Amino acid sequence: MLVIIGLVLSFCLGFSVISAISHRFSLVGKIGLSFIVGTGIQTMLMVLLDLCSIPITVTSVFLLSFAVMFVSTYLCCKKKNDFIESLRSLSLKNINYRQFTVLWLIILGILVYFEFLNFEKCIYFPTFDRDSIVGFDFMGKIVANEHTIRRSSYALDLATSLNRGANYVYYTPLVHLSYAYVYLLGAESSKLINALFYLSFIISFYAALRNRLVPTMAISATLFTVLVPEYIAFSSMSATNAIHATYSSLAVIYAWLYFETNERRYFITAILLSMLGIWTRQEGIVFIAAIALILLIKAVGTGRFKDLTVYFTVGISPFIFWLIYLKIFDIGSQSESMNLLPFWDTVKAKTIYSMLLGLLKNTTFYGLTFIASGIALLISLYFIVKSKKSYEMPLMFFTALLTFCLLVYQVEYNWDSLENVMQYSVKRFLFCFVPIAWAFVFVNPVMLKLNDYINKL
Amino acid sequence: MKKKTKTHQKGRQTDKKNIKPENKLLKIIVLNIAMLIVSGLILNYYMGRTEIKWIHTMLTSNYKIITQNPKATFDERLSMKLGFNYMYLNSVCRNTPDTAVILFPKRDVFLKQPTNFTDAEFGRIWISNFVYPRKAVIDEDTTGINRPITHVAIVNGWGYDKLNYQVSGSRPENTVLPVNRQN
Repeated sequence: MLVIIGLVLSFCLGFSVISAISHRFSLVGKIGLSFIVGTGIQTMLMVLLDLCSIPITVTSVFLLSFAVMFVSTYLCCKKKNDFIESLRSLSLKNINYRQFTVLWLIILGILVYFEFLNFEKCIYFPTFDRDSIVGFDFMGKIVANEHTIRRSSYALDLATSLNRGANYVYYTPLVHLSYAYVYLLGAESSKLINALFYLSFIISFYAALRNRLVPTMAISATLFTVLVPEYIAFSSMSATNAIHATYSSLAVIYAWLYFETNERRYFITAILLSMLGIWTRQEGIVFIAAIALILLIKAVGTGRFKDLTVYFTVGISPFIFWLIYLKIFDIGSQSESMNLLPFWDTVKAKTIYSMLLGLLKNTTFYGLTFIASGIALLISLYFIVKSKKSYEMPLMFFTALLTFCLLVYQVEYNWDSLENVMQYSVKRFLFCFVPIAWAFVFVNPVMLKLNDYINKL
Repeated sequence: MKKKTKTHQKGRQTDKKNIKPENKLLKIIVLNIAMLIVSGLILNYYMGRTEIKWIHTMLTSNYKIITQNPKATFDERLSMKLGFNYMYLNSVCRNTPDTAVILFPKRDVFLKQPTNFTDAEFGRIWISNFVYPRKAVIDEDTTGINRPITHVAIVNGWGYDKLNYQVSGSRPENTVLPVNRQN
């Protein structure tokens, strides 16, 4: 019972925050984002509690969550007219049923079928994958049991006494604190978090695209994204990758929506999701770099650097905070060290290039994802060059990918080989690019023309 | 020129107004049918691909297990995935107090044939997850352990020589025993 109450609280917290950003988000959009935003914020609150030496317990997390919910609901109600307007928009009369086709219904059926099977699989089997057993799930158990992160003797003992596997202690804490939250609530397994995250991702992805696409095209993109073998298989495991993909890909899509419409609500949502992305995995910085690059291009054009400054400063803040946190509490350093100075290693560069290309072309892992988006890019290249518009999504994709390759290149591998990292870590990191790639297949200039034609009918 | 444009616009507006509801309905029906045909072909090709079939098989086979064992306990469900590895570590938990510090052998002892254990990491953290809050210590690696060992995990017959007493009678292959004889 407490588990359900706790998860409902996470949902309500996220709902109030999203509503405080804007009332104009659709109900589906709000529902999709609520859980992932709520849980993400709760993990930040847990770190705050730990910093203040307050034990992380159900009571303390609940009280702080209620406080944030109160503030966001107050902000929400302050925009009284918007609030009333948003309630009116929920009326069934406002739904344009003509846009929903038979195909939409069929695809929805296929989606529900696959997600039902995946959800069941996810919650039925407890955590069994190696990375979670030695990392995130275990850290969650420890935090829930000892009510602290930095003062946990058990966690620090594991971190200092072992090299291999122990570096999970240094990961930005969203995943293991979200697991700690459900363990605190009395859950037997942390898999509920993974199941709800992936379900929320599907809804959010559809809702995000629905802001620009007709329902049938939005749901088609969602179906193709769901039917990516390696991604759906990992979505029901406890590793961080699927959760990270949720935040980072949605951040890029919301940033794209902002570039398309210039609506502030998308910009704020992109910042929030970027923050939570980097709070999940440090590598999330590559998506912040990608979005910041587009903002820089826009800023150079207009001469207004406010958006870029705000986005970059706020977006990167959880990462900076975590680095300071590790330093202050002397929680060691990572087992792999980053080479900050530029250098050239032909063998390393060639290995990264050839293995990455192999991964992108691998249909067993990613289906037709990167092939389809490559074709979409080729087809729309003429329109992009001609109109100098719609370049944002592919540019963000390639910037993030190149920045990530640069990160992989700069790391000095002490206990693991580059080949292993490419084969396992990079393979899973590419999940973040899957939703972006399928989104581009449907929001490239050619498909947008088709979309607008259907919309006019 | 202006006049011409105005007249032209007016004409278009009148055209729009003149579209009969039946025509609109017809357009929607045609659109639905066209979409169904095009997407049907795409979906038919896509769903027939090996990787999509793999997803389907993977999910349905897991669902079959779920429907066959709907009331399986947490331990049973984890045993389905981790087999004897989990069953053994779970029995270690059940037979030791929360404060126990347990000595485990190195990985190769777990996998020495013939064995009931299946290939896994069997490192200190990996084992620790299953025996938490008890502490796991791996043989010949006592780094960071500041409490004396209280129990020895007997794995494939390994560990009897680590006890401070002789075990008389039956010697189970896999069990957990206190390091000092208990009265």
